[in-house]
Amino acid sequence: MPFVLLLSVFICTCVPKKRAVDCAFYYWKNEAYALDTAEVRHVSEMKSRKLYVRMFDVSENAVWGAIPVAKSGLYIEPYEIERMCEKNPTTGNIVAALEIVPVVFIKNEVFRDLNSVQLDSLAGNIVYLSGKYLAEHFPANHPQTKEIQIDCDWTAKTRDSYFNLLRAVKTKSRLRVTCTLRLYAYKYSRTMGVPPADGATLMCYNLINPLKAGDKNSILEVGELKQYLTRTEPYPLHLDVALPLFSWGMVYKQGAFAGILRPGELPGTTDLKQENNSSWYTVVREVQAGSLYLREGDRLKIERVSVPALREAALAVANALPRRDAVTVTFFHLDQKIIHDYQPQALDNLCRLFY
Amino acid sequence: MIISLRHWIIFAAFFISGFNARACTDFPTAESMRFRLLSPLACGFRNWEQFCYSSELYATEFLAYGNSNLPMNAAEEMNSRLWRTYCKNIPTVEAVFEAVYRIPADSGNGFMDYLRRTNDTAALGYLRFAKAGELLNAAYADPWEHGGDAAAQYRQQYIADAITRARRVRAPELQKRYAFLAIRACYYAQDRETMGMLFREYFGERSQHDIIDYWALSFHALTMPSGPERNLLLARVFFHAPDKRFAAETAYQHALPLADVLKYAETADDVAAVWTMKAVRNPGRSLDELEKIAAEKPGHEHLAFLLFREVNKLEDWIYTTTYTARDPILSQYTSAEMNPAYATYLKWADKDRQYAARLLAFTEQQLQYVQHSREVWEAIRISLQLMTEKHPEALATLRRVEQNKQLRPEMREQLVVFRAIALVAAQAPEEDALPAEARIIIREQAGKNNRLLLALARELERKNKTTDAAVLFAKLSLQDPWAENAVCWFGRTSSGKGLHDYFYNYLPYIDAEYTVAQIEDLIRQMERYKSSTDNFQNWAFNELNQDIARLRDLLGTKLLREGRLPDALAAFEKVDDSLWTSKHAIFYQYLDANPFYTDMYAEHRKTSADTIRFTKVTLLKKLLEYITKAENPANPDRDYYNFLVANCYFNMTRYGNSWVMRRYFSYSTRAGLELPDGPDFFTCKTAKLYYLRAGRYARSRPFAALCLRMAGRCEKYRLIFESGEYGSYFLPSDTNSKKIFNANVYYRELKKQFPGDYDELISNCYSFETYFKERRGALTQ
Repeated sequence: MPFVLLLSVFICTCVPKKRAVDCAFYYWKNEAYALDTAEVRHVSEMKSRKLYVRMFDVSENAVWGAIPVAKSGLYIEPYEIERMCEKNPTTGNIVAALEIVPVVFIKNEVFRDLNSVQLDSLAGNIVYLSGKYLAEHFPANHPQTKEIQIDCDWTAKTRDSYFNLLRAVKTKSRLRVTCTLRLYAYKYSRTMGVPPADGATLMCYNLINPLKAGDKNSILEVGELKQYLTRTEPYPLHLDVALPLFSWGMVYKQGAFAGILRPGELPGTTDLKQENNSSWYTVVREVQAGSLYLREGDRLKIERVSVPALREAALAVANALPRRDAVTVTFFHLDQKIIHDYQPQALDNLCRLFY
Repeated sequence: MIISLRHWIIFAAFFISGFNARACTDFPTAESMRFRLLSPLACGFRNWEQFCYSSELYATEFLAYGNSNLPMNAAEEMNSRLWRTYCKNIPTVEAVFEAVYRIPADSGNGFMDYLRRTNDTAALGYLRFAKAGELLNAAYADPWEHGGDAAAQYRQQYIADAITRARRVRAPELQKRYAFLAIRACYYAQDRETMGMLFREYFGERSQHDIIDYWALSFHALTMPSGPERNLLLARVFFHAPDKRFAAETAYQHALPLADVLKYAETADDVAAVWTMKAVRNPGRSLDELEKIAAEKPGHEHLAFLLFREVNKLEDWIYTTTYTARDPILSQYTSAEMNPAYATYLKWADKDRQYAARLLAFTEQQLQYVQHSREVWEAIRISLQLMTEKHPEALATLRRVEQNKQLRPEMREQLVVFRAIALVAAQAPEEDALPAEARIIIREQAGKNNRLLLALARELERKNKTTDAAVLFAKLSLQDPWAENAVCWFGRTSSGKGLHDYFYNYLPYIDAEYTVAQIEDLIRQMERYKSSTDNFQNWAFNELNQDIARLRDLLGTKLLREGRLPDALAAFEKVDDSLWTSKHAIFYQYLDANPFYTDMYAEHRKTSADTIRFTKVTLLKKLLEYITKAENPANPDRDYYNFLVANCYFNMTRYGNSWVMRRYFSYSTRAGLELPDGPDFFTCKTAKLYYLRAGRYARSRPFAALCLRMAGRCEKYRLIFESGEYGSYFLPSDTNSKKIFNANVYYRELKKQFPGDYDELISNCYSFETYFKERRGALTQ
């Protein structure tokens, strides 16, 4: 018996300790009112414990000042959970136990000319409306909520206002306040500052201006990503990671950018001709795509993120993060039009790279 | 075919599942029952959706479609065109629409770029100001959802700014637009005084009116005191401002005399507008109003919608009755007249076809004035030609209209539907096959347009082509009864109406409605096309071919109901064994019961005799054998065999253990009373006959007494059933039990003829076995 104990101690000390890793999703759609079957399947099969739900955006209005727009219509009603339990108790329990993390995207312009009273009022409004939606839209889940996340592309000019807002949200919400962190702000923290938050989610995508990306993939270019992961000292905040699952098409008419097509809006392959095996396509037949009417000769750049590219990115980010920290890997975003290209097992394997 | 009686019940279970596909869904009502073919989507009506003919206060069915299918509504297009005129017609209407309604004021697009290029800072400033104020335009604007009208604090400033800008800006178009923004904000701020002042200053004396004038007028009219003048202004708004129609109509007071409102009319448009208000919500015939409008504005575009609405009414009156076989959702008849026999529906439809003929004449007369959207008028014309059964004319109009290459896809689809109906309805009854063109359409539309399939099935039934109709009903059985485009239909015959409330599946329908001969013809045709190389026929009979065993079983059951036992046996013998192990089988209930045994009380519960298994075939064979023995005067045991035959007939009634021989479901209602064996199923007439016959031939007094007792049992069920005093289990109420018992002539006869056995047979629950065994023990064979 003493020998067995000794052996256990030996094994425990020699094998590197694994990180605790959670797989989660962003839910970014605001028009849907319920989780789709495929979305539930992904959440369930990956045993997600968190769902980051974009509750609303904050935008600037000339009359009102800062107002919420693009409000979320998502509900997880008790009767739906009951139905899921009837069909598959495991799924029902996973969905019922989800921690819904409200995410509020604030447009940077909101912070222009915002005085301290307005800032405080805005923080109060954000906490109030997020709490209201949590209670009304997620009656079974909202007691689990311990975190609120603020999403903003702050700049050096708006930094102080934004950071003050984060502090005010922390005071008013009494929740764990996290924020999103672009790779630029991660690498250049001296210029951009370190947000006064309890943690941040490193957004490992959209590193290149899509309109200037040329042949590169503006959603995820691993080479570009690695250039940002070169900090010599650890980032002063606890970091989680967000990886992209989305795809889009950028339409150019007569050389000028004309709009974006979301998954499900992209035209069929018979309407397009691929240019030299690249991500560029020429429209060969007139077709309605989303709200855009594509004519012959229009060009389309279709960007997708492959699982191998995600794997390479995940490995690079996993190596850059301190080993001691637990990490939540959040996929952007949970949408049945997107996730059918990514099997739950494949995404789970990506999370495992962070162990 | 080796199937135990257990399988009957299993069979019943799955047959019921097929028979009542919609059993667990809601009873179809109102809009789901309304039969309509002409769609507002095909006609491209914009901002009329809420005024479509509907059983709802305001129709909502097409609102979502209307918004998603068309890039901009009629008012948005008017406003965009107005901006385009302001920009010397340079930017496209689409670019203007996008800038005004879809994208932020600082975005770039064809229209915004034009304004920037021409340095029109006034227009750019206006767009920014208008968009900023959008959230103020609601009675309660509260973006952060704290409750209450958070916008109130901003409105006064916004109104003041709008007035200042209206006075400062040079362009008259922008002055008017700013004034309108101020008026709208005043409306929500309930500032009538400022609003009145602004309306008089900017909109009071205009001779030329555009959409901005009518928008301003709508807010002005809404705040006016009630009266005929306000009604006239609301009618004017309704007539000219498509997006304000709903607000104008809900505020319009229909109770005010129309003549009073007409006194304020200044123009032909005004007169037409007032008559439009009268017609637009009228659930009855509106041709008079339409003629009044046409007298002022011949061929006006609003007439197209109002005619379309009349067509939808007629579809309800003619097709809901004759195709769905149900009262119209908005009936012209009293409640006492409702739900009549199908023949009455046909009479109603004939009267409505006469009205359709008048509308058709009106439509054709107006067509000479129609400038725009002629295809919509032509579609209305075709629809009316079909209703008035002018099928060759309808086909001729179709040929002409379909030559138009500019038709929208929705209209083209609509014309295809009309074409199919015209082709099938125009076909002579003696023509054997469906027209080739109709076949193509049917194949294309199956699974998509369930209403069309139902319409065609009914047209084929009218021509007694029941097999072709069954093909279409079978296709309809594939529909998801919960789907939005699902259709159900009702029975036309009394048994159809009695056996089921409504149908989503062809099997219960033909069970209730088709005769033995019609089902035999159906099976014959299926056999004929079994090895056909005709693609259409193979496709058409696909579902039916899969159900061949069920159809043969249905045929046997129907023959049995008619008392044609040898024929029924022959039909059952052809049922494939695979039926019993098919995917439909639901093994949740069974009863291994002996159909030739019953006692004085047993209904569906197991008895000591249930040790033997029968199939439908072996049961019928045995029954025929026993009938032969029972009817043979030379047979010394014919009393006994009459008794067994009586038992079997009893067990094949509502109260016996083998009711599944004659029904596919068992309800506690009178469902199925109209079938050939309906009365027998509920009153045990045949069983009683055989018990009495057994008694007549009985060789012992105790057995004769038992036969009378059993006849009395049958009589009891008849008395209960005919008294109407039955609940879930066909038991009389306590108060009536005594009355029914005393009315039983056979019990009285038992007491009279067999006083020594009466008490034993009536009051000893276990006496049956003693009496029965006594006879069985004395069998000679």
